[in-house]
Amino acid sequence: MSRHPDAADTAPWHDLVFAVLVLAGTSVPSFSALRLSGAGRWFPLAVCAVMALAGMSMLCVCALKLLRHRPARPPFPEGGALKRGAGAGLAFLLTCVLTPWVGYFPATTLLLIIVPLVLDFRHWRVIAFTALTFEALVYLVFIEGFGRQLPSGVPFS
Amino acid sequence: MFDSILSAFLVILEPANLIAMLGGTLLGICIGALPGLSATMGIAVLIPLSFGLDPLVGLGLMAGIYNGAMYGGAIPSILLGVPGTPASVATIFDGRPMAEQGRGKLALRVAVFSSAIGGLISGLVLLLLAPPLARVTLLFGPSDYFWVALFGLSSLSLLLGKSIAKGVFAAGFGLLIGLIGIDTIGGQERFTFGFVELVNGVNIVVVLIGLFGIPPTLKLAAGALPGGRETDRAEDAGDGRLRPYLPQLLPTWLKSSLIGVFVGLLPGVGGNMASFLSYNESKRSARDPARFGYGAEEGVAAAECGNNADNGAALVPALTLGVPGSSVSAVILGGLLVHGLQPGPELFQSNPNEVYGFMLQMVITAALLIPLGLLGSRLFVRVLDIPPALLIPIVLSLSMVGVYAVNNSLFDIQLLLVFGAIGMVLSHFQVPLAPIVLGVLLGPMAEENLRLAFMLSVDPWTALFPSPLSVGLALFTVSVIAFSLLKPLTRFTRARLRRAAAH
Repeated sequence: MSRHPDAADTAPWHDLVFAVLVLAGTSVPSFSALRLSGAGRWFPLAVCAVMALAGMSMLCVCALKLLRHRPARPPFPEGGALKRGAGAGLAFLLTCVLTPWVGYFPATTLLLIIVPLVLDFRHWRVIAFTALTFEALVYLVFIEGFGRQLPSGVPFS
Repeated sequence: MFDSILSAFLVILEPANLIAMLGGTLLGICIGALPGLSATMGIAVLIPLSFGLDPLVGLGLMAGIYNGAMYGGAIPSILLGVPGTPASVATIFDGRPMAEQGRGKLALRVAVFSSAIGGLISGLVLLLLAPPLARVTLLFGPSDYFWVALFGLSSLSLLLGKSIAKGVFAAGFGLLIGLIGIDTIGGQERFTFGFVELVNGVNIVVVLIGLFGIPPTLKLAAGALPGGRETDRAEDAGDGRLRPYLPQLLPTWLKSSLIGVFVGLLPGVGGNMASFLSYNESKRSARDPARFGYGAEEGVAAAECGNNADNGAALVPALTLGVPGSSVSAVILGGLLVHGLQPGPELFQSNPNEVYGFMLQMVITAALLIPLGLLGSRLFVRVLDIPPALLIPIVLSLSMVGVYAVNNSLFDIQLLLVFGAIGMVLSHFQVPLAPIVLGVLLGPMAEENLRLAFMLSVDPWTALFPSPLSVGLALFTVSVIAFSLLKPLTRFTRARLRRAAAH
C-alpha cells in the first residue's frame, strides 16, 4: 500500500547525507562548465549555482533540525528484502554486461531464470513457458514488426 | 467550411477508412504500451507502407496510432510504474498507487476516458479553430519560449515534492543532463567527459526508463515474499465504475483540456509539459491536495487528459503553417507529403476532403479509445496477476530492449544502468524524479531561446522583455516562484503564532 504523505518524511540524517552528496556532485559539472568557452558556459554555470544553492539550503535545514533534536538513525532495511532487491539488481547488471558478448536473447534467458530463483520461485515449467513466450513476442514485435535490430553478441557479429 | 467538413465526414465513414482508424488505434495502444516504441516510430514505419493506400486510409491509420499511442503509455505507467512514453510520467504519480490499492481497473478506466476527452476536445479545436489559432503560435518569440520553459520547470519543481530544495535540485540535474552533447549555437561539446556516444546528447527514453522503470522494479523484488508473491498489493477489487467519480473529474477534464490545447499550440513544448502542468494545476486547485501522489483519481485524469489534449493542437501549426512543433507532427507532415498534400495555408482550399477528413479522423480515433480501452482494461489489469518473480525479469528485459531499440546503441544499455542507479539513490532520498524528466526535455529549449533572445536584442537589459506577452509570462513565472517560496514561510509563521497562542 502507498504510504500516507505524513509518513513519508525522511530523517534529517538522510537529508544531511543527501545535501553533502549534492554539494560534492555539483562540483563535477561546475568545474566542467568552467572549462567551457564563450556564451555556452553561462547557462550550465547558472544551473550549477542554483543546484549548489539548493544543496546549501538542504544542509542548513538539516543542521538546524539535528541541533534542535537528535532523531533516531533510520533503520537498516530488513536482511531478506535487501538480499532479494540486490539479487535482482545484480542479475540485471549481469545481463547488461553479458548482452554485448552473448547477445540479447541468451542474456535475457539468463535473467528470466535467475530472478525467479533469487525470489524462490521454482516452477520450472512456468519459468520456461514465460521465457519462451516473452522472447517470441519480443522477436515478433521488435525485429519482425518494427525492423529493429537487437544485440546479436560476438559469435554472430 | 461546414460543407467541406460534412463532405469529408461522409467519406471517412466508408468501411476501409473505419477499419483503418480502428486498426490504427489498436496498433497505437500496443505501441504506446511498450517502452521504447513511440507514436513517432510507429507512424514513421507506417509511412512507406501507406504509400499505396488511399490518402484518407493512410491518414486514418496515422491518426489512430497517434491517439492510441498517447493513451497506451498510461497502461504500463499504471500497472507497472514504468512509463510507456515521456508524456505518461505524470500518470504514474497516482496511477501506480491506485493499482497497488487494488483499483487498477478504475485507474485504467479513468485514464481511457480522460485520454478520449482530451483527444476529442483537441480534435474539435483543430477542426474548428485551426487557422485563427495558428496566429497564436506566431506571437511567441525566443524570450517567450524561455519564460514558458522556466514556468513549466519552476511550477513542477517547486510545487510537486515536499521539499523545495530537492525539487530545485532535481530540475537542475535534469537541465544539466539535457545540456549534454554539442551546444547547438556555439558548437562545442559539453559534459560528454570524452564519450563519443554522448555527443548527440542523452536519449530521453534512457533517462525515463532508468529513473522510473528500474527503481520500482527492484523495490518490487525486495518486497516480494519467498515464492515470488507480492507483499503489499491489494487484490483488484470493485467493478471499476467511473460514474461515482464524475463530479470531481469533470472540472479536471475541462481545465486539463484547456492546458493541453494551449501547450500543444506552442512548437517544441509538447505533451510532456501539458501532462505535468495539468497535474500540477489539478493538485493546486484540489480540495484535498494531500491525496495526490497516493491514488487520487483526478491526478490520473489530469495527466492523461492534458497529455492527449496536446495531440490535435500540436497539429495546428503543422497543418496551417507547415511548421511541425513536435517529432510526431513532423512525421505526420511527412505522411501528408507522401500522399501529395502540401501543408500550409492553401491546404484547406486545395484538398478540403483530405485535410478535414484527417481532422475528423483525429476526433473519431479519440472517441474510439473509449470502447477499445474499456474492453482492454479487463485484459490489461490481468498483468497484475502475474507473480512478481516472473514480472520483474520481464519488465527489466523490456526496459533493456526498449532502450536499445531507440538508437541501436549498446552504450544506451550502460547508460540505463547508470540512470537506474541514480534513480535508486534519488528515490531513496525522496527526491521528486519528474522535474528531472522535464529538465531534460526543456533544458535545451530554455537555453537555446535564452541565448537567441540575447543575440536578437540590442539592449541586454530588455532582451527577456521585448513584448507585453514576455512581460506577462515573466510576471506569471515570478509569481509562481514567489508563491512557492512564501507558502512554507507563511505556514511556519502561522504554526508559530498558534503555538504562542496555546502557551
